[in-house]
Amino acid sequence: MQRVHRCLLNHGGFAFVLLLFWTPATEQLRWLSLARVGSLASMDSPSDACDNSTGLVGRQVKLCKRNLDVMDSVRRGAAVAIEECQYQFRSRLWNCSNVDAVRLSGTRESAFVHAISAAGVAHAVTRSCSMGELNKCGCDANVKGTTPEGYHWSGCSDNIAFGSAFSKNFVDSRERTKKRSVKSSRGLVNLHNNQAGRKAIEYNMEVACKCHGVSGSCEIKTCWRAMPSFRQVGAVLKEKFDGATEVAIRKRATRRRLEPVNPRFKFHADTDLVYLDPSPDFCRSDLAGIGPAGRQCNRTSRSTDGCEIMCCGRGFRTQRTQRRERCKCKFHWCCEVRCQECVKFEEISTCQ
Amino acid sequence: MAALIDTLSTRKLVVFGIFLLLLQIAFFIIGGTIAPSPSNVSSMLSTKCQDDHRGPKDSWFYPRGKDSNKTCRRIDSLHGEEADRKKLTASDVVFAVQFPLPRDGQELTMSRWFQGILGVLHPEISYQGEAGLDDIQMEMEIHARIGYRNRDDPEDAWKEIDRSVESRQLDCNIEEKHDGYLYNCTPMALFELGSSHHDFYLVNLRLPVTTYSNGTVSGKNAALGKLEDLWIIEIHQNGGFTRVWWSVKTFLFPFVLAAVVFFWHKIQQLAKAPRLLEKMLFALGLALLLLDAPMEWFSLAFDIPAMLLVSDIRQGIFYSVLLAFWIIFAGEYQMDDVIRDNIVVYWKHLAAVAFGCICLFVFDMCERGVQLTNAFYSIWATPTGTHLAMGFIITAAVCACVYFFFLTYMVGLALRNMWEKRKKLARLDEKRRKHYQVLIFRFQFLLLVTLLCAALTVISFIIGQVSESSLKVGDEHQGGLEYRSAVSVGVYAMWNLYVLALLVLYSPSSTHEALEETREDASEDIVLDRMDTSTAPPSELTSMTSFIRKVAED
Repeated sequence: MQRVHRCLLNHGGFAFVLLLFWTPATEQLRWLSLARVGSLASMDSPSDACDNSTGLVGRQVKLCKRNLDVMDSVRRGAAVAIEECQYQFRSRLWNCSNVDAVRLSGTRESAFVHAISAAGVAHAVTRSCSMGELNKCGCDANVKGTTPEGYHWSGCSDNIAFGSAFSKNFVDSRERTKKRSVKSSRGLVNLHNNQAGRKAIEYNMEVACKCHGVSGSCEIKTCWRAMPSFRQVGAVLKEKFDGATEVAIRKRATRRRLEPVNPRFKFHADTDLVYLDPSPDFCRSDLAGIGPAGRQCNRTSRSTDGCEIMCCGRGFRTQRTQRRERCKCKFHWCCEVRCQECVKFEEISTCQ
Repeated sequence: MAALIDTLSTRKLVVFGIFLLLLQIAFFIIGGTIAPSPSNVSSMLSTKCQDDHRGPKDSWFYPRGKDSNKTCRRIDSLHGEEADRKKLTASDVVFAVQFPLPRDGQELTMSRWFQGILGVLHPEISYQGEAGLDDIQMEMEIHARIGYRNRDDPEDAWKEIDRSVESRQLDCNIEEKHDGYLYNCTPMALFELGSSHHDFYLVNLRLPVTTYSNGTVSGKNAALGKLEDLWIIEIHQNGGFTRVWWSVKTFLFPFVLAAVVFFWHKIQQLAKAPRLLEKMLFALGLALLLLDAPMEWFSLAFDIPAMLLVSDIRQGIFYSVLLAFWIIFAGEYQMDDVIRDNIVVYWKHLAAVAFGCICLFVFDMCERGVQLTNAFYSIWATPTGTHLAMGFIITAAVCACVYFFFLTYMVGLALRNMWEKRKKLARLDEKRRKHYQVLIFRFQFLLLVTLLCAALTVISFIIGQVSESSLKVGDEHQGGLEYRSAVSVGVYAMWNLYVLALLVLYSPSSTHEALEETREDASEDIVLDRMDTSTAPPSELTSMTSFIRKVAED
C-alpha cells in the first residue's frame, strides 16, 4: 500500500502529519487528502496550506487561495465523504480504505469515490453557507444583480446553488486542466460521476411549504427545500453503485459522449454512476492493502459480507466470545448518551 | 332605472371594454415580467453556541461579528467527542440565527420593503439505530428571543423585540429506518413580525430541560432524542414585488376615487332616493377605495407592525362587500315582478356573509392581533388554540358554502324566470324581439363574466399552489414570466377593473328622456362582441331591467 507521509511545517515549527492513512494516490482524488489537514483558516500563513503539498492542482490552488474560508468546508466535506464511503462499504472486501487510482481508475469504485466526494463538498459548503459562516456564498447570478439592492428586490437563491457550483468548480477542475483534456474518456466519466454525486443531493431534497396569505390562508404559499442527511446521500449513491452502467466513449456527430456498452441497456441518467473498466479482482493479493486477511465476515450470509465471498475462499476462523458491552445507546437531549449494558454472545469470523 | 350604460352607443362600449381588457393584460404582464416572485425564502442553519456562564439572561448570542468568539462559542456537533468532553447539558446550548446571511462578500441588510418576516422552525432529528422511535409526537418547549440591530449600531447593541416561552407540537415520522437518517418533521411556525423595519435580526433559542441532582432529566424536551440541528426558514415578501404591488395600488387609487366621486355625483343628481343596488354599488366602490388606499407607503418611514393586520381587514371588508353585492345583484334582477329594493329582504344571505367574515376576523385578531404583542405567539401552538382556530375556519367555510348555495339558487331562479319571459317575445314585433334577444344574451353573458372572474381567481390560486409545491431544482429563477406574481397582480387588478367598470357604467343616468330614442337607434346596429368582456356585464343588467319593465307593461 502506498502510504504517503507528508509533512507540512507550520504552526510555529510544529510538524503535523497530514496523510497518515487514507491517501488517494491518484491524480484526480488527491485533493481528498485535505480531509486530514487541520483547519486551514486558523493557520499562521494559510495560503501555504494551499500549495501543492496538500494534493491540489494548479487551478485548485488558485481557488483555495482565493476562498480560504470555503476550504475549511471543503476539508470537512472531504472528511465526511471518506467516512461515508467507508460506512457504505463496511461489509465489502473493498472497504474504501484504499483508492489506488492506478488500479481503480475508471471502475465502479472510482465512480463512487468521485461521486461521494463531489457530493461531500457540495453538502458541506451548502451547510456552511446556510450557517452564515462564509461571506462569499453567491446570491445567484440569474437574479437581478448581486448587490444589496438586488437582494432587496428579489432575494437570493437557495444556498445549494452555490454549494453545487463551488463543488463543480473545485472538484471538476481536476478534469479540466490542460493536461487531461475533457475529451479523454476517463475525464468524461469522472465529470459525469462528480455531477451524479451532486445530483444525489439535489434530487433528494425534501420540499416543505408554508402558507402565509391573508389571515395565514394559503393564498400565498412559499416552499423551500431541505437537504437530506449525508447518510441518505451515501445510501442513494451506494444504490447507484450497485446499478452502475458500463459505458464506452462514442463519437456522435461532433461530440464525444458516453454510451452504454451494451446497447440493450437503457441509457444512463445524469444521476446514474458510470464506469469504463470492470473492477479488479480484490482477492488478488498484489493489490496493496485490500486483501481479505484479518477482515471480519458474516458466516451465515451469502452476500458480499459473507465469509465465502469476503475471504476469497481462503478460509476463515470463527471465535465464540462473550462480552459485556454498551448497547441500545440512546441520545437524550441534548448531549447525553445513555446505554444499556448487555452481555453479548458473539461469533466473530475472521478471514485468514 | 336607467344608467349610463343605456345612453352609450355600442361602439363606445366596445372601445371601453377593449381599453379595460388591454389594461388587464398590461397588469398581467407587469406582474409577470417586472415583479419578482412574491416571496423569498432563506433556509438558515442555526449556530449552536455554548453558554458557559448560564449567566445573565439578557446576553445575546450572535454568531457573526468581530468578537463573535466571545459572544458565541461554537459547538460543531452536539453528539461527538467535543460535546462529551465538555459535558454539555441542554441549558448550555443556545441556537442562534442572525439574518440576513452574508452573500458575495457583502453584509446584506433586511429592507423595509419586505413588509414582514415569517420564521419557521425545522428541526433536524436523526434516527437512532435500534433504540429509535417510529414517530415523534411531542410538545416542544422553546425559550425564544428575537432582537434587532441597525447598521450604525455597535455590534453588540441588539435590542429585544420579544421574548417568550413557547410550546410547539413536534410531529415527525420516518420512512426508511436507518441509523443516521433524518426524520421528516412538519415545519413549525416560530415567529411572525408585521414589519421589517431594521437592518439585522437575531433569534436565540433554547430548548431547556430540568436536570435534577441525581442526574435524571425531566421536562417536555427530554424526549427530543438526537436533535442534530435547528433550521430556521425565514420568509419575507420580495421588495420588488412590494414595489410593483404598491405601484399598481397607487396607480389604480385615483381612478377608483374618480369613479366613486362620479358615481356619487350621479346619485346626487337623481330626483328620487337611490335604489338599494345603487347604494350597494357605492358601498362596493368605497370598500375598493379603502383597499386601494396606498397607506402602506407610511411603513417605509415608520415602524408599523399592525400594517399586516390592517391590510387583512381591508381585504376582508372588500371581499365581504363584493359577496353581499352579488347576492343583491342577483336578487334585484329576479324578473319575478316582485319589488324588493330593501336590504332586510336579504337578511338570510347577508347573515351568512357577515357571520363568516366575523369568524375570520376574530381568527385573524387571535393570530395576528396577538402577534403584535408577542411575535412568537401562534394560535396553532396549543391543542385548545388549534381547536378554536379550526372552529373559526370551519364555521367560515360552512358560511361560504351556505352563501354559494343561496347565490347559485338565486342566479338559477333568475335564469329560469328569464327563460319564461323570453317565450313572450314572440308576441312582439321583429325589431323589438331582436333587440330583447340581444339583451337576454347580454344578461347571461354578465353572469358568465362574473363567474369567469371568480373561476379565474380560483383556478389561478390552485395552479399557484400546485406549481409551488412541485418545486424542483433550478426552478426558482427560470427567467421569463414570473407566474405567481402575474397571477397575484393580475387578479388584484381584475377585481379593481371589474368594480371600476360597474361604477362607471352603472351610474344612474339623468338623461332619462333621451334614453328611449337612443335605444331604438342603437338596437339597429347592436353587434355582439364576445371580446367585450369587461364592459358587457353592467350593460346587460341595466338594459335588462328596462326590458323587464317593458315586458311587464306589455
